[in-house]
Amino acid sequence: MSEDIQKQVQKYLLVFYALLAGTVLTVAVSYVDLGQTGNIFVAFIIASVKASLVVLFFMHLIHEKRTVYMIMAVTVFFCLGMFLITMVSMADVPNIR
Amino acid sequence: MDIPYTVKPRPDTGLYNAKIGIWLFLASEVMLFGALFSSYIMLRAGAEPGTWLTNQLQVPLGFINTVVLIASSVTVVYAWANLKMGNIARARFFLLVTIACGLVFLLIKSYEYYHKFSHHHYPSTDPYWALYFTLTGLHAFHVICGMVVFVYFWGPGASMWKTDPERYTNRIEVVGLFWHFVDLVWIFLFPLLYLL
Repeated sequence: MSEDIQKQVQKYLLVFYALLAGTVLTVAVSYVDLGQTGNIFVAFIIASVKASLVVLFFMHLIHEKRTVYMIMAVTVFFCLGMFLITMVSMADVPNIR
Repeated sequence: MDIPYTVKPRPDTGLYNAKIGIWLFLASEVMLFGALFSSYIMLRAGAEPGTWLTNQLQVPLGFINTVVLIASSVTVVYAWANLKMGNIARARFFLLVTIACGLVFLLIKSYEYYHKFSHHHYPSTDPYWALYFTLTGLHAFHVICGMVVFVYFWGPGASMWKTDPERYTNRIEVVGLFWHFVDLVWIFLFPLLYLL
């Protein structure tokens, strides 16, 4: 038990370093001109990878039960649905400003 | 009569009560912040070309706050891991470090708010500032809530360790899940508001 936890603690440290590297990369890439869409896309990809590390390791989703996966799957479905509906509806909206 | 499954997992879900509760709560939080992120996309995409404000914030401060929150996520899991190993003293130390990280985050955010207000940037000034203050304000509120719970479990709540250590460990795990979610939201807010 204690040894398993020790191994996990070492993993947390590696995840911490990866998140730090991701943060530095996010800032560095923002200074490279990839066009507005390109910069947004790259920043979103890096943020998603960082978020995945947090969810999988710090929040232990990697070892979680099926119930949690089901809750998350339903949440992701509805959240993406909300984004999709927003984007689709934008065609009907004049400029906000 | 004792409430069942406060410590041991339910056989059908495989989870104890508080854990299923926090995951359901986090699901609602995803929708809350998701709606605000949707608003961001809509307002930004709907803005006339070249009118969306960029480079308005101090990137080094946002960077430091990102590092501080990531570090606090590590200290929370360290606190939980130490409880699992039966070391309450070290666990409380890491809880204290987490609280300190939260405090540093809020101090930096307060300085940023003060700076923006003194330059007459208010939520009513521009859609960008409306989103900035709404998103970061709601996020800061979550940080404060997390800190209040951590302070309780570091202080008076820690007495549960003597009577029911497993349940206390579970409580730290549950508040830790909330805290990681707060970190996760900031991971998206930082590039969105500071860099793009």
